[in-house]
Parts: sequence; structure tokens; C-alpha cells
Amino acid sequence: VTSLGLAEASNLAIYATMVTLTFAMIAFAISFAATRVSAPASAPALVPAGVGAPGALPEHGAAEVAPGIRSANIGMALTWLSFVLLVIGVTLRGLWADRVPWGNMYEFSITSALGILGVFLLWSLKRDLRWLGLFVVIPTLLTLGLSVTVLYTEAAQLVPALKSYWLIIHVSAAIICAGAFTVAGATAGLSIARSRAEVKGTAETGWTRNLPDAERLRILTYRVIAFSFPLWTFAVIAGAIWAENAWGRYWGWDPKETWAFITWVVYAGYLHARSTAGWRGDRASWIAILGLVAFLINYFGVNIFVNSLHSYAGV
Amino acid sequence: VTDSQGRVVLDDSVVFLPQDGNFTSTGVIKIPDADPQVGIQGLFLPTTALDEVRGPFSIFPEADDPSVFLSAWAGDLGMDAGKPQSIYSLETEGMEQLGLRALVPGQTWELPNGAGTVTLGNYIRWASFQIAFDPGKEAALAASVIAILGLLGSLFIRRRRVWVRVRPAEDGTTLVEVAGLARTEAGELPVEVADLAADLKGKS
Repeated sequence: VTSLGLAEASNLAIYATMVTLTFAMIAFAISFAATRVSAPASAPALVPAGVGAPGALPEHGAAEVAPGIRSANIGMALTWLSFVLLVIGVTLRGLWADRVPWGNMYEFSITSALGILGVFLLWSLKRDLRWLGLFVVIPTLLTLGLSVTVLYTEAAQLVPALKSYWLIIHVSAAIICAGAFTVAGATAGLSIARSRAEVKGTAETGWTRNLPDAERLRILTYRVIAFSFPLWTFAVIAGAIWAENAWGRYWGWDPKETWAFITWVVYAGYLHARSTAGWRGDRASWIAILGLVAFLINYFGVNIFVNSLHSYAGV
Repeated sequence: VTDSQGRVVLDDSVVFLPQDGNFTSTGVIKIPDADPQVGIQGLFLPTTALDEVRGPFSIFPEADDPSVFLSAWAGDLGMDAGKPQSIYSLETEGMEQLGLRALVPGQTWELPNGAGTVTLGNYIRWASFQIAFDPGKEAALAASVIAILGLLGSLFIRRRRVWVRVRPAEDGTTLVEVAGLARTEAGELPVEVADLAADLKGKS
């Protein structure tokens, strides 16, 4: 295969991913709509209270939600297919460029999309996350769409400052964090929606019907952030070590460093809010969303609008 | 650089300052002894690329395809007024642009109106070094490693308290009460307390 063939194959795989993900999104959306129409709240007689109530589609009665479950399953299958296609796309891109495919923003974005799907799918092996599918697939599709339209760049040689094994350590940690923060942002947003519905009394009839209860969603959000926060801390520290190696100082208030620190502080604030009376509920969830916003500003804003040492290879 | 009479007025290397990671570098050559005075703004590109939007720029720091893009000016350099100026910038007020030209090493540019010639002989790599002593570095590293370990501990070690109260009940049997309090976020406490209670029941 010629190297140009690899590039085309990589692009094709990315486009194919977007197609299958779009179908996955439709399937998840249908599943949501289907369960929503069947209004009679046939809640099981014994609602498991408090912690440990697994929120999942099959709980809400059996017969009338069947079409919803079927299309949610189709959505999960398509998400797995998309994941495989995206792995192929990213790998081919790496083979073409002959390095890890994290040399510019396009490559980082498609790998982040892979990170989002990876975190979601790995987690879905442990518990039933079909209700979350729609809210993970949408940001993934947006990321991929932005990548192929705005951020696309031909693979070029790595700028010398990036030629280091720290590229693999620092950037892979950041990619996993990108995936986890996005998933946490989705569950935080859903927990707010669900808790509002619970207050209004429409939790079992409105669109949040398919979701686990708000407290469950908050615990899930907390777990994802508890996992990714130390990883983010590590990514920042690894970045500092690399910076000391490449630029001769480990912390220089470069915009990227500053925003990484802001993101870190916001998520630290979230963790504190979770253990502070009066802040545990929706307020903490809002902080989690704020953290994702800070992360996105760091990623898109700093690379595109600010002149930073992290602006490489065009973008 | 030669002047209008063909005299060599400059035969030296001029420092060009890198502007980006690919060493797109800018610099200025000032010839105060020429008549009229000549100033040249230049752009040095180790690996030359042209773009409709960005104009000439370098796409790689290695000197794979080096060239300079020059813009020559004639007139008053403004150096005689005694006002300090930067050797890296040209004050073109009071000067007239002679022309633009790109040169690769070895090429010569005959300036318009017989104002002289400019030859790009060669390029010399240069580096600037900054030596820094950072005694706090190791301490910062050790502190951050400890901070991560502490963070992991605070997030993943599950602190919980369990009480077991044993007292005689009114009907002569023994009443065993088990209670638990979770100090961190973990959903399994009710299960654990129930397990413990079942364990105690089995042993009685």
C-alpha cells in the first residue's frame, strides 16, 4: 500500500465511523422516543430505594418498552462498530505519518473521539449504560465533524519540540481525560435534567424517564471524575516534566498550562463540592459541567485563538 | 552587498531572529555607508513554502530548501539623527522601496536603478543558550508525586465506620444491631453492613 493509500484509507475509515455513529445516534434517539410514548408508569411495585438501584431500560416494565430496548441494542452494536472503524482510522493515520497520531489538532481530535467512545464502551461492559448512549454519541459526532471540516490537516513531520517519548505519556493521559470528562459532563447534565424532573414530578413521564434517578447519575459522574482527576493531575505534571526537558522550565504560565491549571482547579472544586453539605446535588453537577467547559476552552480556544507554545502545525 | 559603484559595503553574516518553531526568521540589513543609504528587510526560510494566505513561510526547521525573501529600500535610514533604533527592524519612513526578490544561496540580485547588488553567500546556523539553575525542581517533582499518591488515597481508599451493639432483649434473647457510616463516596456500604449482620447471625 502506498503511503497516500494509507491516508485515503484512514480518511475513509473516519467517514465510515461518522456514518455508523449517525445511525447509532438515530437508534439511541428512537429508543428514547419509543420508551417515552408508552406513558403508563408501570413502575415496579418495589422501587429499590437509595443507593444501588441500577437505572436501566429493562426496569421500566417489560412488554411496552421492547421496541425501545431493541433500538438501544442496535445503537450499542453500532457504537462498537464505530469504535472499531475509528481504531482503524486512527491507526492508519499513525502508520501513514509513521508516528503516534497526535501531532496536530486534527489527529488529537480523532483520537479524543476514540477516547470518548473507549471510556463509554469500557464502562458499558461493567454496567448497563444504554441510556447514556445518545449523550455520548452526539459529542463524539460533533468532535469528528469538527475534525474533518475545520481541523483537517495533511500529516506532516513532527515539529522537533514534539519528538519525545513524553508525547506518548502526556498526550495519551490527556486523551483519556478528554474522553472521561466528556462522559462526566454528559452524566452531570443528565443528572440536572433528571433532578429537575423529579422536583416537578415528571420524572417518570417526561423524557428523563429512561434515566437512572438523579442521585444515581450524580454518583456515576463522581466516579468518572474521581477516576479522571488524578489522571489529569498526572497529565499536567508529565507536561511540566516534558516542558522542563524541551523548553528549559517546568512551568511558564503558557496559556495551555494556565488553562490546564484552571481545569484542574474547577474539578478539584467539584470534588470538594461533593463532600460539602449544600453543594452535593445539582450545584456540584454544574461545577462538573464548568470543568468540561474549561477543558474545551483549553483545547479549542487556546489552540485556535491564542498564541501558545502548544499551537503546533498550523493548529 | 555592493553599492552603486560596485564597492563591497558589507561582507558579513547578519543575525535573523526565528519567529516560529520552524525557524521562519526575520532580519534587517542596514548599509549606512551606501549613497543613498540602503536598508533590506529579509525573511529567512530554512524550508521554503508559499501559501496564498500566509505568504512565504518555513514548514520545517531543517535547512532543506533555504531561501531569503528580501525587500530593499533606499533613502534615509534615520540612523544619523541619533535616535536609538533596533538592528532587527527598519524604519521605512523617508525611504523608497526598490523592489522585492527571493534568493537561494549563491544567487545575486541586481538592485533596480543600479543601486548595487545583494548576494546570498551562505547561511550559518546559530544558537543562543540560556543557562538556568533551578534548585527547586527536584523538590517540586517529589512534592507532586506525593500529591498524586495522596490524591489517589483520598479518592480510592474507602473510609467507613461500623458499629455493632449487643444487648439483651426483653424476651431473653440477645439483640445485635449493626450500623455503618460511609465517610467517602462509595455505594456498597448497605450491602457490607447487611453482609456483616448475616455473618454475625450465622455465628451465633
